[in-house]
Amino acid sequence: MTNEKTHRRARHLLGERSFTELNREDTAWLEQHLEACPECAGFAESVAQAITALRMSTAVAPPALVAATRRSVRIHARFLQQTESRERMLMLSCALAAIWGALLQPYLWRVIRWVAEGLHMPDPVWQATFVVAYLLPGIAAAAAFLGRRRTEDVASPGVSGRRTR
Amino acid sequence: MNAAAYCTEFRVEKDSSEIVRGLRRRDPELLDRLIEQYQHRLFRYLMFLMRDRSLAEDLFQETWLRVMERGGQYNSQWKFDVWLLAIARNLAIDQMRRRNRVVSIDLDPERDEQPFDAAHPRQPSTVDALIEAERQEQIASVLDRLPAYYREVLTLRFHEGMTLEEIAQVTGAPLSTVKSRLRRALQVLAQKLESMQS
Repeated sequence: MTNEKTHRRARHLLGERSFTELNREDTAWLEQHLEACPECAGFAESVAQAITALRMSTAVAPPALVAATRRSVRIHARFLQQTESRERMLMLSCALAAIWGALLQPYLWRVIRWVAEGLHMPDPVWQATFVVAYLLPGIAAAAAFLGRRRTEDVASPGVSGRRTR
Repeated sequence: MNAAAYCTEFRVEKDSSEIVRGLRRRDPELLDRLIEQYQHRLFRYLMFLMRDRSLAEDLFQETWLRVMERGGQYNSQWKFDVWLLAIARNLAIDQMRRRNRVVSIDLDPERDEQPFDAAHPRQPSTVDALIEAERQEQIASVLDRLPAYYREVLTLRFHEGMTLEEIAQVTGAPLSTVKSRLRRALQVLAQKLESMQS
C-alpha cells in the first residue's frame, strides 16, 4: 500500500471511529499507524478537538423568543380548536339536513305535483322546480361553508406574518 | 430485558402516546411543556443550520406553529425530537429556497454577520483557558464556513447525540449518506483546523 493510501485509510478510519465502533483489526491497524505517523496523529488530535468543541458550543433560545412563541402557539391553538368545532357542527348540520331531505323527498314530490296540477303547469316545469327546491338548501350550505373557510384563511392569526413578539 | 430498561421503554412509550393524544387535541399545556423541553435543542439546530440568528428565530416560531397545526400527523413510532427536527429542517429548506441561499462551502467573510455563540471555555481564568477560548473561536469560525449539510449532521450527532438512524430520519437521507457526510464533515473540519494552526 502506498504511503498516501495508508494515510487516506487512517483518516477514513478516524472519521468512522468518531461515530461507530471499529472492528478489532481496524482498531489495531489504526493505533499502530498513529504511533508511527505524527502527521495522522496530529490529524487525530484535530478531530478529537473538533468533536470536543462541537459538544461544548452553545446556542440558547432567547427567553423573549420562547415566550412569544408560546403566546402565538396558544392563540393559534385556540383559534384552530374553535374553527374545528364550528366545522364539526356545520358538517353535522349538513349531514342531518341531507338525511332529513332524503326522508322528505317523496312528500315534497307529491306536494309540488299537486300544486302544479292545480296551476296546470307542464310536467318539465314542475319537475325542474322540484329539482331546484331539493338541491337549493345543499347548495346554500356548501356556499356558506366555502365562504366561511375563505374568511378564516384570511383571518387566521399567527399564520401569515408569523413572527409575533 | 432487565427491569430498568423495561421501565424506561414503558415511560418513553407512555410519553409518546401522551404526546400523540395531546397534539391531536391541540392541548396548550402539552405544547407549553414541549416548547420548554425542546427549546434549546431546536434553536441550536436551527442556528447551526441557518448561520443567522434572525432566520433561526423566525424558523423557531414557525416550527412550533407547524407542530401544532400538523400535530394530528405525529405518531408514537417516531421519537418526538426526531419529528420536531424533521419539521424544522423542511421549513429551513423552504426558507433557503425562498431566499435563494446557496448551500455550499462559502468563504466569503461578508456573510459571517452573526455566527452562533462560540463555545465558551468553562474556566476562563487561566492562560490555558484563554488559549482554549481562542481555539473554540477558531472552530466556531471554521464550522460557520462548512456547508449546511455538514453542519447539520455534526450538530445532530455531537450536540443532540442522535444515532445514525435518527439522523437519517431527520435528514431523509440513506444511512450510508449520513455516514459519509459525517466522515467527510469531520475530515474537512479537522483539515481546516490544522491549516489554521499551521
